[in-house]
Amino acid sequence: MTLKDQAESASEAGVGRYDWERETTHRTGAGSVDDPYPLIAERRAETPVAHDSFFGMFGLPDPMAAAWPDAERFSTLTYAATEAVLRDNATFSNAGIRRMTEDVFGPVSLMGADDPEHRQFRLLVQPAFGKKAMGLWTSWVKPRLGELIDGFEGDGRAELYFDYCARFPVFVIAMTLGVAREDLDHFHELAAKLQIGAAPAEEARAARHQVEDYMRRVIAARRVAPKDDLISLLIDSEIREDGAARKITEEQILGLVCNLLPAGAGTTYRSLGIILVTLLQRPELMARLYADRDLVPLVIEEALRWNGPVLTAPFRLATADAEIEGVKIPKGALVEPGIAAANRDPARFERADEFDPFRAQQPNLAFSFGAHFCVGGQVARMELRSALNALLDRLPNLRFDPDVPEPQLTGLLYRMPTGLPVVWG
Amino acid sequence: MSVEQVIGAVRVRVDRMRCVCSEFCTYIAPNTFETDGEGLVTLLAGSTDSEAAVREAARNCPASAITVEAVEP
Ligand code: HEM
Ligand code: SF4
Repeated sequence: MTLKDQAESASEAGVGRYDWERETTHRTGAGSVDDPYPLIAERRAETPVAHDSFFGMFGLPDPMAAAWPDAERFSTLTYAATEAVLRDNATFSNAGIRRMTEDVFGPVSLMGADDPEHRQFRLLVQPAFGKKAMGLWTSWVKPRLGELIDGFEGDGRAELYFDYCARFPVFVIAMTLGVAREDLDHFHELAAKLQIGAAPAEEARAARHQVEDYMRRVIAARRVAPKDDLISLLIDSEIREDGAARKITEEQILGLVCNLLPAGAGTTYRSLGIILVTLLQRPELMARLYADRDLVPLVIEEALRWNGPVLTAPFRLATADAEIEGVKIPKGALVEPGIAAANRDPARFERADEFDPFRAQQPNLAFSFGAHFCVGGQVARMELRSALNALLDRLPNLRFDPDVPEPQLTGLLYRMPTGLPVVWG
Repeated sequence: MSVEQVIGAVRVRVDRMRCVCSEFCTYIAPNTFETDGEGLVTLLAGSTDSEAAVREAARNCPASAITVEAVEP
């Protein structure tokens, strides 16, 4: 298949190189919604909290409807409303997602737990993503990026989305978890199927069981002979409370692994793809970036705000009657925290629809907010910085391949480019 | 490692057990906040950040882990 055919079929069928991947991304809105922001802006002008799901607003079949046929649905559209919902995790509980994600995450879930259980679990795992552990993550990122660029550098052209962006975050997680290299492609497929709403329940469940069986063997091996990897680090994790030390359980480790694969594998590569398309559409900015690498973190933060890889944080279940920004939300309702909508709220960000890395820096909600703030945020930022810098170091004068249609951004629940065909030199 | 500091006219406290390591505070008031090797917030000594910056950091903390109160005169 030529690059041209590939780019065309990707945009037609909903992105992704493989059938299973194209299907999973298509199911979450890729190919049907390219730019969700104009409609979001329209609705935001009417109300801070829409009485509808995001899929409903866009007239798409809702992947959550089967698990929750009768629940009232709400979606936050402003920064203040989104922040308020995410801050109050007692009223707006994460535990509701378990009915949908038990297939994916198994019985123990970081994302689907509430305090105090969540907090204890989170304190056990957070050090694995802090500064001390960062070297572990970096040690897999840099060589992988180098190896991928080696693979196409001599060709003068490449499909960066499929052959670069998509091929390192899942590799990094798999390697830090102790997966053998020959099992990588299989792991990649399993990770894609574990994304919320992306695969039918039976497939998601089967994928989880395969990951768990595999990881049980890795855990057993590391208990006998620890290595410098995440599983060895997690096995040793403990928190001290009132003088007593609590160790992480095997079920907790497996739960975390099944949270990590979709959370870390599906987001970072899409984000990198979005960042690169955004830059290549702006050659002057790209030229500035080659000359001044201090701009790299600014570009990344602004891209995460302006077009992050996920539309919402996982939905919250109202545990009591509540009111957000004047909108009444009854107990039992499902609320989708619209983090992408919040990041375009003109009440928070001046010229919110403009991509401007030089704007005054202010926190945004790309990594969510509240007790469940993305635990991999610092790893993700490091991965994005490293991946962008590696390209700038090795491929001069990067630009879109003039012989094929220019890619564009697409997707609703997950945002991504339709492809990334480039030339350089 | 410090979890309480007086900066100008305010007392700042951080609750490490709530911190989610967003690093927002370290961007907004870099001379006051830092995250440690374990991914939890700590306070730096001798901060030169303004009271406004410290309050802004508290407001933006995702985990409500930062409290700021006026020091009794
Ligand atoms: C650009 C990349 C990424 C984005 C935009 C992102 C975004 C998010 C969002 C929106 C949440 C939901 C929090 C909530 O429930 O409110 C989340 C949670 C999570 N993310 Fe990320 N993420 C990214 C990369 C990563 C990476 C690289 C990892 C792991 C290495 C990771 C691991 C997790 C985990 C484990 C959670 C669950 C945290 C909890 O419930 O306490 N993420 N992320
Ligand atoms: S802003 Fe809050 S959660 Fe983020 S690092 Fe600072 S104290 Fe921790």
